[in-house]
Amino acid sequence: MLRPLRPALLSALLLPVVVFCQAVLPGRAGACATCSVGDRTLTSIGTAQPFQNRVRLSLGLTHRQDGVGTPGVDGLELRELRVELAAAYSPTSWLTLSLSAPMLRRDVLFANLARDVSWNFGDMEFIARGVLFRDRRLAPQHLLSMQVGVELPTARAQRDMFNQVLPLELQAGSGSWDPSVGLTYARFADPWSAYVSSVLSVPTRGFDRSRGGASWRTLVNFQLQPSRAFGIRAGALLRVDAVSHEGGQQESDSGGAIGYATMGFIASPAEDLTLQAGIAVPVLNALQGQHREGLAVNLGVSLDL
Amino acid sequence: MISSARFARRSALVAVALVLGLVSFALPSCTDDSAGIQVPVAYRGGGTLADPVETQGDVSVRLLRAHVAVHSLTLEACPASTLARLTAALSMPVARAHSASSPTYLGVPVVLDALGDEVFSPGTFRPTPGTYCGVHGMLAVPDGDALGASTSNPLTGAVELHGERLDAEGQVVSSFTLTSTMSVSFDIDFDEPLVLGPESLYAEVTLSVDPSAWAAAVTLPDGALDAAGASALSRAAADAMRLELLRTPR
Repeated sequence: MLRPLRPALLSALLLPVVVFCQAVLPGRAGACATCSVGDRTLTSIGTAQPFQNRVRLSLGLTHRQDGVGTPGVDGLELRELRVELAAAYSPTSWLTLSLSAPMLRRDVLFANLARDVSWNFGDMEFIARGVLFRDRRLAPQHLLSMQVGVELPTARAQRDMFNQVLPLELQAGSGSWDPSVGLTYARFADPWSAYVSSVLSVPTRGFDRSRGGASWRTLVNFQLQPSRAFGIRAGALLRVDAVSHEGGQQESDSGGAIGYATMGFIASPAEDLTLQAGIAVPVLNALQGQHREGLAVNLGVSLDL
Repeated sequence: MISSARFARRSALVAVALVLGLVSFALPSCTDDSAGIQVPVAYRGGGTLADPVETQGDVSVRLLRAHVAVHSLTLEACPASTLARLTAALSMPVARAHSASSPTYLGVPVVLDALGDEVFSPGTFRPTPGTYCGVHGMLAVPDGDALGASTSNPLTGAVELHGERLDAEGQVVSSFTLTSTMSVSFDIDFDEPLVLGPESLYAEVTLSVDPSAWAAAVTLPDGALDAAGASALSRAAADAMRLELLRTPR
């Protein structure tokens, strides 16, 4: 079975970033990215210290497992590989604009042993992050930022064999405009660093009168970087979801809270090139109804232009 | 210091990588779908009945019209063990999300002509792995949009039997039309339990009605059909339902 995908959105939104980099910023000159901020801390995209005209691109891979419904009765099990292209640009030293575009390989196993494997386009996300407080211009030790963002309804509804829309938890995206707002705080104390992010997103109406519940995510990450090119990370992620609505009805297998322990490493094998890998292990599961989330593994590479 | 030339080179490199990546995304993707366990269901009539049949009381009749309205059909799992039932009874109730279309329930009404050979496909069971012992069905008055429903001569009951009484020489004595609006359920067991799982993903169920058996169980009333007669007519139709199970490993 052949399914056409939607690369046009990716092309339309990501390629101009690169073209923009070449056309608008030809006079850009500066030190390496970590040199420009006066701090050698290796950072992931979205958590970096901004400086004027900083451009960063990344490719991330995330594998996760999710299950909704009663196994052996009406359970659906999802294995998902998320391939995410992202670009971040800082037009000033206090503002960073980023755009991410996910492609998802989704393997859904139904209760009757039916299997649906497909590639789908997910919801793109645009985020603007502005620095509220920086203790000093070069090599700041404290960085407090506020971010606002919106997920775009670029994903298509995924359906089961009865042509019913799958639960929101198993969708490639919500299919709705989902605004978000949050605060981030970064502490740089070489060789230690810490990063805290707390973001609230409030989905609007999406597929088939569905509406995801509001979701509050808080991430705490500690990083120890014994050398210039390598650091290890550990932290926690807590997500609290409100109950979602599907077909105008409350979805019983949604909502609740889940906490993950995270760990991983970050490395820089070449100047301005960063690799990272990590796992997230669910350690606190207070999700409501029949909803299971499993181990998540992520790999990523990012490059400062 | 990063030179503009190096910045341009990096940008070009990323652009090329992006374009190559996007080209691969632009290609149609191959999917690896499998249907899982499926049990397609067919309803069909009993076929032409040319010869007269005998009803209760040895009344010879020729059937001219015989219709039943199948309201629903359920694939029944074999009874669980006592221990399993006890465990289920003690466990928390399970919320059945997204179950408007049940994997073991077909609620597509069909008007079946017992004297015809038309075949209807109301749907497919998509059950979970397990052992299934039979089907449970229901005959009930159909909606106007039921499969097989006639717009010119709609079925007004759950079952309808129309024919002619014959004398010893086979001559028509009188005609009769019996209609019952009474709903009635039926259960048909498989000869052997149907085991469905990874090794046996497919089977077919065909439901039909045997007009001879139906008529043979009917007592023709002298006058109008009363409630007890209507109930007996529906019951006789339900008892005349037949089932074929085709076990086909796929």
